[in-house]
Amino acid sequence: MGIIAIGAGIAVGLAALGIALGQGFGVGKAMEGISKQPEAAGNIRTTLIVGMAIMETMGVLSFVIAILMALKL
Amino acid sequence: MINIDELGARIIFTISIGDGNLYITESTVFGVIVAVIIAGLGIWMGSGLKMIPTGKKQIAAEAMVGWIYKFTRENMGRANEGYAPYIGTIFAFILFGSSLGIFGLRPVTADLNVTAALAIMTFMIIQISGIRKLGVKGRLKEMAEPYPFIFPMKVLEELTLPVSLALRLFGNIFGGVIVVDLWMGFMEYLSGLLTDVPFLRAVTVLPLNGFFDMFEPVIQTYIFTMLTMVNLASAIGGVANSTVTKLPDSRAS
Repeated sequence: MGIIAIGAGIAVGLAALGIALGQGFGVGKAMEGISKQPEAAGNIRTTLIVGMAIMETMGVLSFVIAILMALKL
Repeated sequence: MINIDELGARIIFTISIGDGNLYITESTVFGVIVAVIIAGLGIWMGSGLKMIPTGKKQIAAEAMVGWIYKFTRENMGRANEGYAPYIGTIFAFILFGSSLGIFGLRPVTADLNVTAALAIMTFMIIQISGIRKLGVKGRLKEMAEPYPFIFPMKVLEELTLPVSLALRLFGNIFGGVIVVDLWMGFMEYLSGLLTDVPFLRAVTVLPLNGFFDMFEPVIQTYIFTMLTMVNLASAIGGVANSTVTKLPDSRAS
């Protein structure tokens, strides 16, 4: 019983860790790009937001898994 | 606290057909309402068009339709502009359906059935357009390029697209619903320490609403339509077409 709750927590936590690292790198690179080439800021921002949302999918998938596990409690 | 057994959409009424039951849930009812409102708005805005627009109504309608066509053209190329009505339809439905939380209703897309239906629609459109354009043999041949052993992976890629589209939209909107609910419960508890009236629930939830019911739906709608268009373009005209023919973006500031 309790082990399911721990598992759900670990699932979301590890996914959040990975996504946070990935998005951090992504935003850092985008900042670099914008500061080097401010005229491309609009394009970079759009692509960045799309890319971040696609990265977030992994977190959302693990969130769905955590919900499925929590429903078993 | 949030009740884990009632995470799904509430059943409003049940129709018995033969041995089974047909459940009419909140998602169904709100989905129909949203569709009717969007259709009514569209018919109203599209009525009484003139060659030289005089009212604000036609200007707004032209701006919206023009934006959808430009959005499609930028991502799919000028030749595939005919898909713009489909893109615009799913755009409007997902945007309005996900923003229902502003009115305190349950968003339509916080139900896996709805998002799966939308994703299956996209999947069918991609496959049917690809087969109509290239033929069954051409489509299979295109999937076996550049090397034949890549074919199983391509099939898997095609099949996981609707799953990931459905789960992405569902998870994001549903996560927002849960966070807003948790916050409301917490505020009810805090104000319960002082009085019986849950007064703290009134205004404190607005930033969360702003993020989960206004910002997030726009982003998710954008992603959904963008992925639909990119995959559609690559199914119709080969992989190269989707990126190389992209027109220069005039929005760059």
